[in-house]
Amino acid sequence: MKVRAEHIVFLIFFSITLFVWQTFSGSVRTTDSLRNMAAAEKMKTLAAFRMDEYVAIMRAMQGLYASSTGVTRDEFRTFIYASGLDTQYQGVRSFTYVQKVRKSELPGFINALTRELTVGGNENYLSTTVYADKESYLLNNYIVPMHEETPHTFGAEADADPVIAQAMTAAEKSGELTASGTVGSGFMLVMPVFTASHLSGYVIMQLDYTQLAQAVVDTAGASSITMKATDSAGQTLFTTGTEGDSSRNIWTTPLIIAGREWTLTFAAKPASQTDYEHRMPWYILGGGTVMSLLIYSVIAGMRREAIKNDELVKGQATLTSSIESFPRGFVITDPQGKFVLHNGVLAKILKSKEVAWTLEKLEDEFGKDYDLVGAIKKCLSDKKPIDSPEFLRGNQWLKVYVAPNYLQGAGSDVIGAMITVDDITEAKALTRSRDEFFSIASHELRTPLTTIRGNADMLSDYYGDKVKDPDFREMVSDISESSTRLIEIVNDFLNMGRLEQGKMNFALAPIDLSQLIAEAVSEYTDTAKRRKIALHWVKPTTELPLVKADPDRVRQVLVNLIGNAVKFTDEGSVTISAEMKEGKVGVTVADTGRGILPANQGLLFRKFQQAGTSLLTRDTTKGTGLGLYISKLIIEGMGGDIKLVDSRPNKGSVFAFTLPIARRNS
Amino acid sequence: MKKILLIEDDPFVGRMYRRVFSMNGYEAIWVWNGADGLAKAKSEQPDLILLDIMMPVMNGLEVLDRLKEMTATRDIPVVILTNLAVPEEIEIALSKGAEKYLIKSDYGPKQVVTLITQLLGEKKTAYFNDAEVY
Repeated sequence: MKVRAEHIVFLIFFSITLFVWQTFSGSVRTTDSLRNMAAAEKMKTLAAFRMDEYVAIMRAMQGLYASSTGVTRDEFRTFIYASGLDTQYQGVRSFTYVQKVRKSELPGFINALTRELTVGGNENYLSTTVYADKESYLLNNYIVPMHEETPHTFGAEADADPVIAQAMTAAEKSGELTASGTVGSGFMLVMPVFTASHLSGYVIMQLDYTQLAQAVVDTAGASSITMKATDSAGQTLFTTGTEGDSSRNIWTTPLIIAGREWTLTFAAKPASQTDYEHRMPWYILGGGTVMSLLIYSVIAGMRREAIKNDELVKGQATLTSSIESFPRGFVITDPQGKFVLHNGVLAKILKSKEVAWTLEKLEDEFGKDYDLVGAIKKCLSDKKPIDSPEFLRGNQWLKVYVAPNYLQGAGSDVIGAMITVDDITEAKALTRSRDEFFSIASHELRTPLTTIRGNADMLSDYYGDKVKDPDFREMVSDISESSTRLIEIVNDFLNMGRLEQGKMNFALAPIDLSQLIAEAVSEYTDTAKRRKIALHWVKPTTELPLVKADPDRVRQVLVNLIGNAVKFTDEGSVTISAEMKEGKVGVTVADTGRGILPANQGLLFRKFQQAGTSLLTRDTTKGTGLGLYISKLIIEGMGGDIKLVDSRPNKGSVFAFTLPIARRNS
Repeated sequence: MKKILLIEDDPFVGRMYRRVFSMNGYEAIWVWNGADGLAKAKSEQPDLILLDIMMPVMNGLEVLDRLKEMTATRDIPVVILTNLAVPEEIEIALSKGAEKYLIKSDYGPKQVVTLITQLLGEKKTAYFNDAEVY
């Protein structure tokens, strides 16, 4: 395939599209990552920050209980509510103060609880736990619920749950805030409280994973990001959203809270940004490809159009220059006859300065001798060319030819007409001078020929019997015959010229053909006898009507036809007959001669034609080859027709001509 | 002896016709142009004038006009003997009073003499017929 402009342009545009697509997709991915990372980082920070706050609260509570063992439940509750811990810290389910009670102190603790319960009158405060017989007990002094589902309780053993017990042991050992493992739907922050270097109890904060996470997510305001927390064992503690959403853009970050390490995993949904932004690169790729293809086809189309235009322009240029160099005035019209184009020769021929010809202007120019508008109209309606006669415009002879222009070859739709205007003045003059030359030359030829023949004739007429030498006599006879033939040829030329120019005036009169035929036949009786062939004139049984013809010319035709028949028949007969046929009288001359080859039959009535096949085989002893041509001109000039009816080699030929019957009153 | 005036510009044609007429017992006077022809016709009073048409200075038809104008020559029969075979010319010549219009190339010299002899014979008969009437 040839590389064309549109291919290169397409490749350039498509490459640009791919580049922009790639850049955009990369940038969208990067932006996506950056945004998600920022959001995740923010959430992690928020989570850590919140946990720090919780730690601070726990320290404050530790300080509260460490400074005094006599903090009442009411004081603790008041402290919590006053701090706004119940409303401001979402995810906190409860605060608990766990008091270490020795075996000896247990009855007093229970009495105090029972008394307080009686005073308060609230049964819900009572724990139903039956205490085991131990040295010391870790009992819930008071649980302040932060969640409606969590009850106010006190009195129960705090280390009944092994996970909590484990956390409390760890806290006592480290003396630091300790996070428990998972308890229910959350975990505990356990802070040991020491009084005078001895453990006096614990402050415990119960937290809910989901609420805590939700609080972080809500605060971060990144709803499209899911957060998952796993403990060190890989156990999922909680997750926001559903797992299915977290297939892309995963970041993990460690979070250490109160000595326990968690792993936070953030996942952004694919639609962390708007759909549009994500589809943008694909829009660019698709749009760019479509644009490239469009540009390709537009350029390809333009190129094809340009080539077509180029061809059209070239074609038009060729046409225009052809028309301009055409040696005649040339016009092309539309189907209404309006001029579409014409050449400069038109004005030159008409010796006019006109440059914008119209049908009407041209008709005016032609004068009243030629109806151009009519000719165009007729040509367009008949769809046939009109070869108009020559006409004289001033002293100039013009010939106008009008022909229809077909869309595709003759017979198809006519898309207008073509007019050619030819100045034939020169040609006319040439023809005339040629004709004049012919007649003068012929005439001048006849004078010396007359002398030659006359003297030869006189020699044989007056001295024939005085000269005994047969050679001498033959020579004189040859001169006489040759000059006679030459005179006949010259006469033929003159006759032909006059007939062709229409200068032959036929002296038409009603004539009796029978008589003319009989006379012509009698002229050849001697010749026929000498050639030993039969010459018949078969008179019709009914009398022939008179024909309207010039007797001298009819005689000429008869002599020509009978003469030819006798000349070309070596044995057999020549038969002349006549009959009335279709309003005309027909004369037939049939012979049994050598006949004419089919290939030559079509040439018979043409100028200088004889039945021979070529110039070399032409029988030059027999005549000029003008006889049948002149006969045709004569018969047709008198309104009849002449033809070869039939001819077969070595069988003979049949010629026939007709002449119109003379009307009775003429 | 019958007297023939031959007006003919072509030397060979003229000589040929003079000879054949002489050989056939005519007195043949031959002149080369129309002016001489008119003079001889007047002075010699021939029995018949043979007149060519295409001649220099004065053509045959003009000569014919002049012959027919002059009383001295008006009655001398004129036969056009020419090679100009144009029907219009033939008609004009006959209308101007020529007896006959002969195309040279159509006839041999002997034929021309025969035709002229014939014509003069007819003329003579006509003359005698006329004489009888008078």
